[in-house]
Amino acid sequence: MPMIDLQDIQVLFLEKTRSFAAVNNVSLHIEKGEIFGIIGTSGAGKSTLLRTINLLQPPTSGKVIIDKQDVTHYQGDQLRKLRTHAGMIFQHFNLIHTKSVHDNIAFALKAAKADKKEIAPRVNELLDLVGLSDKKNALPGQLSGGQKQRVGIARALANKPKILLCDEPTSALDLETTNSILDLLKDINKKTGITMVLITHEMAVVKKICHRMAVMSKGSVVETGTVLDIFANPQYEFTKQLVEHSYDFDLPPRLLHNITGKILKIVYRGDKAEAPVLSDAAQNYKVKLNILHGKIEYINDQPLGVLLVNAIAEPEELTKVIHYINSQVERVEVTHG
Amino acid sequence: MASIDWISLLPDLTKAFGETFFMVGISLFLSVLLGIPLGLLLYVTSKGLFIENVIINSLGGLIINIIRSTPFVILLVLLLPLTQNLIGTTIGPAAASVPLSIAAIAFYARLVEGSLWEVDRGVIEAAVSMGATPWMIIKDVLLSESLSGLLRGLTITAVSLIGYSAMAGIVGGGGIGDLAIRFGYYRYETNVMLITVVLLVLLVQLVQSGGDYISKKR
Repeated sequence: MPMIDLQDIQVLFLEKTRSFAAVNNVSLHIEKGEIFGIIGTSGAGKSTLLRTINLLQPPTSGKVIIDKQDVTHYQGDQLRKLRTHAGMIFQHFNLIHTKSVHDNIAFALKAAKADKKEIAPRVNELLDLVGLSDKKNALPGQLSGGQKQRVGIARALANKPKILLCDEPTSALDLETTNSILDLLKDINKKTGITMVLITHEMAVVKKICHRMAVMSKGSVVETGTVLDIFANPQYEFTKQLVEHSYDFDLPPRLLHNITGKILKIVYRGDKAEAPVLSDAAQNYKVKLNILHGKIEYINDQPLGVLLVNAIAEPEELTKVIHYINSQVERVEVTHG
Repeated sequence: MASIDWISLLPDLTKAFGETFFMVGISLFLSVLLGIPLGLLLYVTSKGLFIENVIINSLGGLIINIIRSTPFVILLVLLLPLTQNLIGTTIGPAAASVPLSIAAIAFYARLVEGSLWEVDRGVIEAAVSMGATPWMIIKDVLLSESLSGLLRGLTITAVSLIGYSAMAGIVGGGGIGDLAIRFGYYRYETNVMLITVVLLVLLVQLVQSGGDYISKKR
């Protein structure tokens, strides 16, 4: 049973003369305990879609079902109660600037009408969780970006929510801080089994912590699947570009100019990564193989390899080689020649 | 300058200062008491905010605009019936405080609204996402985040009120400005006028510096 079930969500914005669909008939099923990534360029509607989950953005049509409850038309106290069960963190942290770290977290607890006596110990517990116990009385202005996001996370988790919505949580942070925040989120997911929905425009973020992902383009979800599947075998043109972009496999023009034969892109994954496909191919066929570029990544602890190989052989032989390699790995593409 | 009879002027001056403080004090108190809620109402009912309400918003805006576009001298006269009803007389500092307060409330409400627009919308969204009630958002987010702007606005209102209160002389309200007009303008005692003007400048300077200091400390 999914924790979050979005059914045919549509969000229309009225502009001067026409209406514009920010989110167009999107259905997503997000399982309990998973980290689900939604990726897309800015303006793709991912932020709007995320906001329909806690109804910050009520959908124009469609249903939002959370933990088997249809919440689409919740209002007033019922809606506020729902929101205390769904924490949210933001790209720009959105802390109350004039209140201390302690008071910012206490605000979330007060919003859920927590017992006054429970506030102080719970705040300490949360600060401990995010590693900021010594910053309890600091004002947000005195914290670094990463520390602010940690306060944001503590605040979002204050009421032990079932869901954590992450709106570009690392887009305003540098690489190192991004990694530490992602590690923290991954750790929290493992410890508490909280369901996370994370939107981002960076493939690296999805690759690092998400289990499954959806790709959004122009208001529609164009592809969903496990992160490994989408990276190994992107279907949609936009996804292919995103994946390609994240590898950064540019060969120098000089090399492309002088090359003979073909350049093959070989994608392999899982146990296949361990089979000696290239040396077998070289032994069984009359072909010279030369590795130009390559990378092995681990997505959710599963290896995914990409190699750029220069293959030189007679045309017929080359077709056989490609056919053989293709039968052994995820896929082969001829990228040049 | 040496010809001024300081001793005989002193009682007039102290009385005038007392009247100015009385009128400005009452109006300032009422503008905090009513101007802040009115400014808040204008803000939270505007488009895209959590108690969006076009009717209340436009109506409130219209009333404030009417008060603010009426020259204060005219407002003073127009409100005479109201003053009579509220205070029982149309003459004296208390009576002058009625139009002064109404002008100050409208003026401050707009400044409050402006300060609230400066509050980061993301912070408000975060509070909504936590399930906070409108009252919690007003108290712990809006008022807390805009406090320094609210204090700056209050300083501006106080300074404007000192200026407006000069016209209170028309209904016998008294005050420093009135003293300047009576002595300096009607009686051609330029020296007295200059002294009151210098005192007014000092008073305004003091209010402004004090206000800046407090709002910066926040």
